[in-house]
Amino acid sequence: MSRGAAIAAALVFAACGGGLYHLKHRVAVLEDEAERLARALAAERQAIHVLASEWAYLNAPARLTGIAERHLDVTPLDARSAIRLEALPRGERGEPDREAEGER
Amino acid sequence: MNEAAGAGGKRSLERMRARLIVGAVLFAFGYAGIGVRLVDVAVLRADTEAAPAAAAAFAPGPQRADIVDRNGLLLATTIPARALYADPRLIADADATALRLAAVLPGLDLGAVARKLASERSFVWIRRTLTPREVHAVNGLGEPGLGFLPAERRIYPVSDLAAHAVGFTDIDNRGLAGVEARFDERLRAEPHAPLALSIDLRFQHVVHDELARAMERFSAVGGAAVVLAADSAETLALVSLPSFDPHRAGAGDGGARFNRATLGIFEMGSTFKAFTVALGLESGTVTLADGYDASAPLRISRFTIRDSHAQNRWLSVPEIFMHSSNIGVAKMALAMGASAQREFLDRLGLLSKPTVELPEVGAPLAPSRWRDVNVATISFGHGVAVSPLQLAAGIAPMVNGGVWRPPTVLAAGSGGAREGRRVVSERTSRQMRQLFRLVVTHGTGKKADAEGYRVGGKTGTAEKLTDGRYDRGRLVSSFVAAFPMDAPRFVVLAALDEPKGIAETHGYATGGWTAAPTVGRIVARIGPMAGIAPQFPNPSGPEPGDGPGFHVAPDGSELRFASY
Repeated sequence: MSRGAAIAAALVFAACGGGLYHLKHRVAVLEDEAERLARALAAERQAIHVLASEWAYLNAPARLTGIAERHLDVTPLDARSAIRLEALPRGERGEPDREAEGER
Repeated sequence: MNEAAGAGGKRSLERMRARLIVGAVLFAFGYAGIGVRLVDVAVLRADTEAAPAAAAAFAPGPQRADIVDRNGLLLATTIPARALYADPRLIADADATALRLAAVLPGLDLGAVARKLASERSFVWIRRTLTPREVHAVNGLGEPGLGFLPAERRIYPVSDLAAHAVGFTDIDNRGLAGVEARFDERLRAEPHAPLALSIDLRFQHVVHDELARAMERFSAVGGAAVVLAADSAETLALVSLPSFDPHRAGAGDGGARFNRATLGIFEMGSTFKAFTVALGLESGTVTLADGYDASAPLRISRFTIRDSHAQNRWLSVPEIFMHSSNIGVAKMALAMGASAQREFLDRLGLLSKPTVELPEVGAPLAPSRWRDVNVATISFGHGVAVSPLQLAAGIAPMVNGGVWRPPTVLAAGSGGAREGRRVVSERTSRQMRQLFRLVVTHGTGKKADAEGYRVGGKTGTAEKLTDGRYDRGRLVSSFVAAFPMDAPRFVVLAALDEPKGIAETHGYATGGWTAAPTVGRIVARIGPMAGIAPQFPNPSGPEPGDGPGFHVAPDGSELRFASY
């Protein structure tokens, strides 16, 4: 009886020890993983930040204007080019003229 | 004896057992406690996230918040950089090392670096912000006495575009000018929350572009331009020219860093007539049908007031405004008196330093005693000097229904409209809108008429003081406008400092010839951006969208055009 109890206690002890070791090991692995991810995240954030500033630089209005003037034939919108939707010519059944649209 | 010994042994055995049990129970409680805690952490709270402190520990992020425009576009940001230092004790040949450094770091002061490297210290800065390419090049030198430290660099992606509003920082990223200086503590205290300005980068670019073009065309020494939201007095564009590169704010002449739009104060000339006429209408001193005799110059003590666009006859109030008659507004102002004029200008924020959130704000100049001659000259904008931003903020209530708000460079939060104060009635504001429009359709501001956008405004031309005398050759020419005039959304002001007349303008350098066309082009470009639908006058009737009686005729009869 007391011998059986002793063996059971020893088994429980061994199981606890093994379990604890396993848990601790997993925690250590996960901690390493978390640190790695946190570093990667920080690096990624920094890269995004730098890219955002570069994006802002590339999109600076003065730069875009210069490029557009050099490579495109477009000009700033003239007031006469804007028209209200209702003022557009319409098709027979009151719908927008699809044929005319298709011809463009 | 044995008995006694046996009994004694038994008792001590029992005592031992009792102690053992007490000890075992104590241990059992201890383990039970640990067990409960284990179950609690491992099972019951298994789903709870660990505190996300880890990520922040590796990247504290920038130490200074970004500055963005009203749409979130970057105006100033901080990026990681590397700082180059040297340990002179490890440098064998200071001069040779300095030469090699200068070869890879353009703009390095060779003599200063050589002196630093030859010093006895153990740490000297060589350069505080290096690009990755420069870091690579310096590493390539293989010099053991050089090292890098992580650093931060403040950069301004749009360069000089909004330099006067945004400002700049010193080498340690502390704000020295503009918003950078005004909100220095805020930017460092909350580095992850961008500070949003009311500036709209698109508007800023258009205004900067057109003003620079006008400055070049008329060989002006400087220029200032402002776009305000007519209702909220938010500054959508704030331009002062010449501008400067905030990355190298220390270089170049200090004149470029001077903010002409907020720190510069000028006698603004005839644009002030709007205030005189508005007060006249508001106080009931005049109606649109009244007028004054402007056939002869007005003499006040030893001063004579003349008209530059002289009509030499009786003029109605609308005619006084559209032909910009000094005599007419002077007589009107004299009829109202000094205290009424002074109080009105004060309510428009023209006599006190504006509260706009910039360190560079000029206090207006006004006479200490307002005599009759001051009243007369102030009525057409001489004798009181204000900043262009202040003037634009004063014009806003003339067109927005009569409510003045202090101008601001910060984007309005979700808190709703800021508190304003009523300075003129709805009715007066409506009449002023008609008068402004009249100036552009029939008066001195015809060149500001951006087709379709119903611009209204007032020209202003003031002579600058040289040695205490007004100098006819040195002008401040301005035009202040609002559009669309049936329901104004924006107030636009452009001012040129000392423009010179050109052949195309027949030698004139006045506001109507220089600043007005600039404003017209600005309106034509920002109108579509703001989504304002252009409207064109129907040749057989009033402009579409205008209510009856929108037009005022030069003779003051409001309904003349609208009765078609």
